[in-house]
Formats: sequence, structure tokens, C-alpha cells
Amino acid sequence: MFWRANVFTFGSNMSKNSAWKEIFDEVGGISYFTARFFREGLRPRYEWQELLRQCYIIGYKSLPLVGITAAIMGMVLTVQSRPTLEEFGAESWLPSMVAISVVREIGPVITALICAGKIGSSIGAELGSMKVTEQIDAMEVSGTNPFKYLVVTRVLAATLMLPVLVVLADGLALYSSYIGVNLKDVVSFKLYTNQVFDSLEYSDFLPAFVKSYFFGFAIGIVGCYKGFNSKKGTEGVGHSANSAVVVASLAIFIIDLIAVQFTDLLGLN
Amino acid sequence: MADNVIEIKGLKKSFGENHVLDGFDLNVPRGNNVVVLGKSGSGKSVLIKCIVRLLEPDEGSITVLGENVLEMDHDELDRMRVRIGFLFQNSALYDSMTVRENLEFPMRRHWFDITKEDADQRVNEALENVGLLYAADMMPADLSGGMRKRIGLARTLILRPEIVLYDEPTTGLDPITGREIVELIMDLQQKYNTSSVIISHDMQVARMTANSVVVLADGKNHAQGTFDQLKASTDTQVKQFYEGVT
Repeated sequence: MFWRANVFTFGSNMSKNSAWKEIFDEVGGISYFTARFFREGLRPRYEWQELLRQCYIIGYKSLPLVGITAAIMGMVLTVQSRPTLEEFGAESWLPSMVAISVVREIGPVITALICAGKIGSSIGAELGSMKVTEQIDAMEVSGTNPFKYLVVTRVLAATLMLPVLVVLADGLALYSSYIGVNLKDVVSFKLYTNQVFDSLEYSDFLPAFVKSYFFGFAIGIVGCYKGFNSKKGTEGVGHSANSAVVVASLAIFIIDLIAVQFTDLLGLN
Repeated sequence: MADNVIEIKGLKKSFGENHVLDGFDLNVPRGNNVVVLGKSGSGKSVLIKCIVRLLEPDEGSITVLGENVLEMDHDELDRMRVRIGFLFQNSALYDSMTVRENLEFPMRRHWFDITKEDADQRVNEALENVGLLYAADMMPADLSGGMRKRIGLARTLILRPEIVLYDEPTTGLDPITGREIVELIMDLQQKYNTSSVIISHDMQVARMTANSVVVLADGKNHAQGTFDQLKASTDTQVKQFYEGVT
């Protein structure tokens, strides 16, 4: 039995080692890719037209999905929180509670997760399919820098557009929360907004706004990395799209965790 | 000494234990078409991807237009790549762009001061050359295989390269369309005075285009000569191509 136990331990160590190796390979690959993004991004010539096109695709075309999700999120949060607050006779705190929850945490994180699904998978699949159909090679041999044209523009667009989407999502969530409040009470819009803005401070808004830039950057860089390094074949494209979403979602939570620690250190919590 | 536009010496490229190119030598004289024949997986595409450094060779030297390609930095390589056209097997058209945008794309990135009128004129000329002016505003997804090949050829030639590398130009096409593409390649080569390396396993392509035929086998330049010289060869691997004998 001893040998069997040892063989199993050895086998399990082997698979653990290879899993760790895969994780380190992935982290190393993304780090190198990120360094290349800064190197290529800072060098002229800049692809302004493509950047604008990507801002339109990533920002404007994500609006319906982000907007609907945000509206539902605000409404659900309001309706579900009301009974608990009522128990304590604190239903007048509903607008403040929803505002702080949405602006500080739920708005940026849910918007980023929605975008990781929509934008991350779309970038991963698009670049992956360009890779396997040799379109990226075609750019390279025509003396065009595909990294600058495809990666730098998409990552920048995701980084710039996500905070905009977060602000819009926050606004829509708070507006639908106002509707949620009025399902059972009668609260004027002015009173509601007064309560919301009285409860919010810059220290609620600013860290959330800043971290949404990092969320956007993570979604862009992971989507591009996965697409750019897609393996041959349609299965590889599917895998790129899928893993872009998984890794970007994980990255969002890790960035969120770091942001919380950082704001805590700065005394902004 | 002949004026060679490409000189390859002792080229080696392996993928793990698979030694795809194992000391390959090749000279391409100016104005000539060299057809490289080889079985599937023999390393033909690897060879031309090494020439433009889409793949990095393990050993050997590649001189293109008198310059050592393997010693170039990224900017020098980009400048050299403008002088080399590359037609991909599946044309590799950018599928998010129209045909016109596909053709404008390389121009806009190399000729920064080109006016819209000049760019339009060049695109129209390139499309006229391949008989597809009417397809300018179509998307690649709406084109047939033969049309995609023609547009790929137009895009390859729009920067007026001195050398063109063709990767299986007739693969996936019916014999009639394949013949039309080969005739088009010959017409455009004469018009723009290019030299070319044509990767193929299609004997019709070799017969119609080659000044010189190279048989790539076991990673080496196994045999080289004119189409008729190799046709008369008694070498088993050469005969396999000419007679389909296995």
C-alpha cells in the first residue's frame, strides 16, 4: 500500500506542479503583454481613427446591456432592502443605502463583470479568429504593426469607456431605485436626489471611478492577450473567448480587493 | 554572378523534434519565378514565413534585396516588408473591412501624405487589374473563393513590391478559376516586373509560371531545374510530383 500512496502523492504533486506552471506562465505572459502595450502605445504613430471606432463599439454598443442591467440592479436592490429597513423603522434611509452601495461597489463591479462578458469575449473571439485566419500575419507582413493597431486601440478604448459606462450605470440604477421607492411610497424626485447626494461624498465616488479605469484596462488587456495568443482552429477561438471572460472576471475581483485595501489605507472607507 | 533578390543558405527550422527545414538553400534571380514544390507538411509555407520573419529560423542566413533579414530590427524589417508582397493561402482579407478599406489599409500606413484622390485612384487601378472594380464596397464574407484570391492579390501588389511570395495560390479553387488566377499572376508580374517565390503542389502552376522549380524534401533543396529538366529526372521524389507515382 505504501508504494501506491507514494505514486498517488507523486501524481498529485505532478498535476499541482503543472497547474502552478500554467498559472505562472499565464501571469508571465500577461505581464509581458502589458509591458509591450505600454512600449507600443507610447511610440508614434497613433491609430486615432481605430481608437474612436473601438470607443464606439466598446462604449456606445455596450450601453443597452449595461443600462438594462443597471436599471434592474437598482430596482431589485431597493425592493429587496425595503423589508429589512422597515423592520428597523429606517425606510427613510433607503435612498442613501442604495446610493452608497451602487456608487461604491455594486455599480462598478457589476458593470465591469457585464463588460468582461460582452467586451472581453468579443475582443478574444475577434482577435482569435483574426489570428487563426492569418489576418494578423497579413498585417505584420504588410509592414503594419498589428499590436499597435489591434491591441493598443482596444485596450485604450476599454480603459476609457468603462468609467463612462459605470457613471451611466450608476445614474440609471439610482433612477430605477427612485421608481422602486415610489412603488410603495410617494417620494418626490427632488427629495430622493437630495437624500442621495447628501449621503454621497467624494470619497465614495472617486475611488470607485478610479478603479473602473483599472477594470477596463484588465478587460481589454486580457481579451487581447487571449485573442492574440489563440491556438489554431475554431476550438481555439472559442477557448480564447471563454478564457478571456473567466480571467478578466477574476482580475476584476482581485483589483477590487486591492482597491478596497488601498482606499482603507488612505482612510477613504 | 546573377543578381539574386533572395539568397537563402543553410536554413534550419524545427518545431520540437520535427526538423522541418534542415539546411535549405535557395537563390531567386531578379525577375524570375521560382516554384517550390513539396508534399503537405514538408515546410514550404514555413520557408516563406521565415523569409519575412513571421517565423524565426533556428540557423542559416536569409538575404533579401542585398540585406540580411535576420539581423534587422523591427523598424528595418517593416521597411523591408513593404518591398515584399505576401499572398496568403486563404487570402487573409480583413473581414471587418470592405474590399476598398482592405486595399487602402497598407497604403494609409506607409504613404502618410497620400491624398484621398491618389488613394482612390490606386485602389481603382488595383481592382481593375484583377477585374473586380465593382466589388469595391463589398465585404470579404460576400466574395467567392476566386474573388477573395483576386482581392488578396490586388492588396499584395498595391504597395508595388519588388518580390512577391505566393502561398498555394490555387489551393481550394476549381481548375478553371485556378488557371485564371495563375494567368493573372503572370500578367501582373510582367506589368510590375516583380520576382516571386510560389509555393505549390499544383503542377499546372509550376508548368505555367516557373523559370525554375525546386523540390523541397526532407527539409532540403532536393532538386532544382527548369520544369522540363525535372520532368526528365529519374529521381523518385521528383517523379512523385510529375507522375503522381508513390
